[in-house]
Amino acid sequence: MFISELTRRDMLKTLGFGVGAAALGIGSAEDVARADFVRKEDKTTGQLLDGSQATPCKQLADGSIVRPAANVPKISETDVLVVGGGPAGCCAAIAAARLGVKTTLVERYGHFGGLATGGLVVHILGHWISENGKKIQATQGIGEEMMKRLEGLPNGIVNREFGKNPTLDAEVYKYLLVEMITEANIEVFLHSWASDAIIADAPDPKTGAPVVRGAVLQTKLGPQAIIAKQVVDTTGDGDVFVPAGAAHTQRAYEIGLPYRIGNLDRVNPPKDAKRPRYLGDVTPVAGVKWVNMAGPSLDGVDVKTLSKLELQHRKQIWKQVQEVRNTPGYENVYLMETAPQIGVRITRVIEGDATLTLAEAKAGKKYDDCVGIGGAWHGDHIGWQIPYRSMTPKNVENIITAGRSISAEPLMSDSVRVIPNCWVSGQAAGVAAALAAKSNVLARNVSIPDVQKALLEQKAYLG
Amino acid sequence: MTPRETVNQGAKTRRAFMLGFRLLIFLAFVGATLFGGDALVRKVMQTSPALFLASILTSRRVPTDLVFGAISGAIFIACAFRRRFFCRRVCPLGACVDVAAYARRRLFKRPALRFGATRVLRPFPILALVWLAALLVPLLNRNVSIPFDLTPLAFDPTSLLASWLRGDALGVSLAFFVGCFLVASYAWRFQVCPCGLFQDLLFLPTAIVQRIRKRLRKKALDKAPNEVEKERESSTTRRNFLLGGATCAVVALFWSFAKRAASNARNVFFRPPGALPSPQFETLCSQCGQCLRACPTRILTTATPQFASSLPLASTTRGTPIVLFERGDGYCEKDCVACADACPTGAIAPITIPTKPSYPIATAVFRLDYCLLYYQQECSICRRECPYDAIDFVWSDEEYASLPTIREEACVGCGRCVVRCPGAGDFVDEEEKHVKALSLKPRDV
Ligand SMILES: Cc1cc2nc3c(=O)[nH]c(=O)nc-3n(C[C@H](O)[C@H](O)[C@H](O)COP(=O)(O)OP(=O)(O)OC[C@H]3O[C@@H](n4cnc5c(N)ncnc54)[C@H](O)[C@@H]3O)c2cc1C
Ligand code: SF4
Ligand code: SF4
Ligand code: SF4
Repeated sequence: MFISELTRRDMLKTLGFGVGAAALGIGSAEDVARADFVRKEDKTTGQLLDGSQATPCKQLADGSIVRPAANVPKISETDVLVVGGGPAGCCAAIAAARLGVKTTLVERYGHFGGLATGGLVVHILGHWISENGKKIQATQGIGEEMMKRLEGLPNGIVNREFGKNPTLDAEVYKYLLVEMITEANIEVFLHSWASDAIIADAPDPKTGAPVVRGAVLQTKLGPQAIIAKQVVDTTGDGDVFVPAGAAHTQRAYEIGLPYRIGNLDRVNPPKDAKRPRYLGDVTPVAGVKWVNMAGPSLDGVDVKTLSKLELQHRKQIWKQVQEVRNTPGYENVYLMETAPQIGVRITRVIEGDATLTLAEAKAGKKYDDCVGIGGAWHGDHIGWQIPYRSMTPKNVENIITAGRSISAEPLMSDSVRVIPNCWVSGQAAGVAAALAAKSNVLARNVSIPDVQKALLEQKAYLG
Repeated sequence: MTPRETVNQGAKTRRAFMLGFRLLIFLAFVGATLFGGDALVRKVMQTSPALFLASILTSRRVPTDLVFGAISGAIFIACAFRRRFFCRRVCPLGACVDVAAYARRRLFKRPALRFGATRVLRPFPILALVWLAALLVPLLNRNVSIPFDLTPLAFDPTSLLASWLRGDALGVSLAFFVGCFLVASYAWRFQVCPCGLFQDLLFLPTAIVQRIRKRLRKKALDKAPNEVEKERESSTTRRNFLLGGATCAVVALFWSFAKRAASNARNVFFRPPGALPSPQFETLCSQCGQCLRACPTRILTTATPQFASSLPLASTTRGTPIVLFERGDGYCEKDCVACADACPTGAIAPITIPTKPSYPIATAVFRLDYCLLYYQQECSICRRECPYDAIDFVWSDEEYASLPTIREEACVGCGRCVVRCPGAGDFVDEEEKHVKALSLKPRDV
């Protein structure tokens, strides 16, 4: 039975999501998944701890702050660990799990989809390309499967006609991802913020490069470790490959905060009236529009910057919505929601074994390790090959990246980062990681023909 | 058969042979023009002595092709010693005129109207001098333009024929052929064609020498002038006068139309890269259409009266090439100088790919309130598309958006950003749909 046929409540039951399920008081015998989550100690009275095990950081006499050495509890051991559940990470995890390896997906928030859901970036750009004057859809495989399944869900997606750029609904997509990830039997850790990489004691004897063995997650229970044969970093910001010591460039790029407005089916402008400026774009829900925001180009991993921007952006959004409401006929329009997650476009990008450049993409450069076709959402709609080597960092073993942080020069990153391209590179990273784990080789040395074959079996398009 | 008749017979056969031969030239030229033998057409054009000289004068280079440079040079020199060498031996339009005249003679058994201009110096066509001034003055002085449509090179026979055949002015070409056919085959050759008159000039020294010799011989014989011939000449003069009047009337009519067209014409338009500045360009451009056909992106088109320079009359620019980005998605390619290479007259300077950026077509300008970024939509197409890195996005606190700006010194006006930009006025008003966020403005404004 497809989970989409279940009710939402059944879903929660099956997953046993958090205390919600317990509070619902459902306790039937077949509720296995839920039982896993309910521990004996979880009594309303709680458990008294005297605080003696705490290992806080210390400020030394010279004012510096240090973290004491402490053991990190291991909460899981897996074949493929995917960190970051955005468009790239979800595709990576699903692709890996479908190859039959144990797959674990870690996400800092409570939902999947990354910027495409939490960031309210709902416009699918770049999935079709123009080849010899003919439009073709370069995004196939899991990305296309997602769009197809969104189509089957009420208010899931609009403008799915070929050659158009569809818009999805963030909430429907969040739900669909839950469906697909549970179907694939992926181990999930939500509310877990990857804060460190785990590397093997000894570097790789051949290359002398550090070998990644897992990641440390920051959780409410403190740091927790997951050990993995292969790690895929799809946090978008390189939160694992940076601590692992991968060479990367740190970039400043536009940071915005999209939002949605409602009641647009209840506007009644007088004839010949000027349209308000901030009306945004269509969504699958009637009367609802999403308004994007570019924002200034700043450092998207600096909390000071992010905090300042959140405050500024919220003021600006308020101003923009009021401007709409003050337009005759638009008084009913209201601010539905702002993106829960600030829209950081590009931050850290690895120095890969190959780097995508715009000039080469335009010239149609061919790679023998092509694992997908990216598409430009810009005017010319060119397609380009994504080489596997642009996803593996130069100087660290067993970590693959996908999504917006693959190796590309700045102008090219701007093309690489859109959702369909993240789907494509994510799926490729997942397949490569799974095959590397299966055959027990370094990620860099995985057999490219095998990866390409497996991708084609997963209906990916390689040109 | 008298000896005179025999001579006539011989001349007739020779003439018929020449006619056949030139008919072949004519057909080859027509075929090449119609079926894309651009190179051939261009080369034939280079042999026109008028274009040859004008081209050297402005572009300061001999026609690019060595072989043809030599051939056209040779033709140029031949014109100095053989009267109307080009007209009679090479010119495809000349061949056309001859064929038409021949056919007319055959059908109507009457000689063509003939205006006694064949004898050099006596009624040396004033028009020739006007032509020459009209050609030389703007070439030598950048600030002077020709006050009316009749830029002489526009009437260079080879280019004229090519542009007609391309269908630029089907009506005109039909009128021309009918005119040649029915009325005055040689009016064109001896009163109008600047190239023909130019050849007369080239031939002038030889003509003077010949005349002096003839005078001397005549004096020796001392023969009275033939009365009949006198009679005929006077009637010719009368007809000449009438025709002149009619021509003036037509020109006046045309002038008034042109004036009206000029008043509501678009006077912002752009020339191909490397085009000479305004008066010279119009002067030298022979409207041959070679650049139009050479341009791989098809952004060149001939100016209709709708596009007029701010010069007094719209028609000055009619038929000359302009760059038009609005028709499709073509733009001027970074690694292309095809139009400059094709231009047979040097109206488009012989630029090269490395020097091309110093010959901007225009400058891009933004209409920011039509830019997608102004409406908080995702776009960076123009910056990505610009081959010259001339576009930056600059954050504006006031607009709360990063908006595009142009670095004018880097922009060459290639139009690529313009054709790719998705921003247009329909954000504000459906009727403004065709007004784009990006357009081009002239460099010097
Ligand atoms: C404002 C804005 C507008 C955009 N407009 C468009 C558009 O119109 N069309 C389009 O196709 N694309 C657009 N994009 C780009 C696109 O949305 C993103 O680039 C794309 O979603 C990136 O996918 P990703 O999987 O690589 O990264 P993300 O979507 O950023 O996903 C990363 C995931 O990892 C999680 N994560 C991050 N750090 C950690 C950590 N330390 N531990 C655990 N989890 C972590 C995040 O919570 C997130 O779920 C836009 C982006 C922005 C910001
Ligand atoms: S340089 Fe090439 S592309 Fe540009 S106008 Fe001339 S022929 Fe056309
Ligand atoms: S016209 Fe546009 S694309 Fe061409 S150089 Fe100028 S800014 Fe660049
Ligand atoms: S391409 Fe047009 S709409 Fe897009 S950023 Fe440039 S000017 Fe704005």
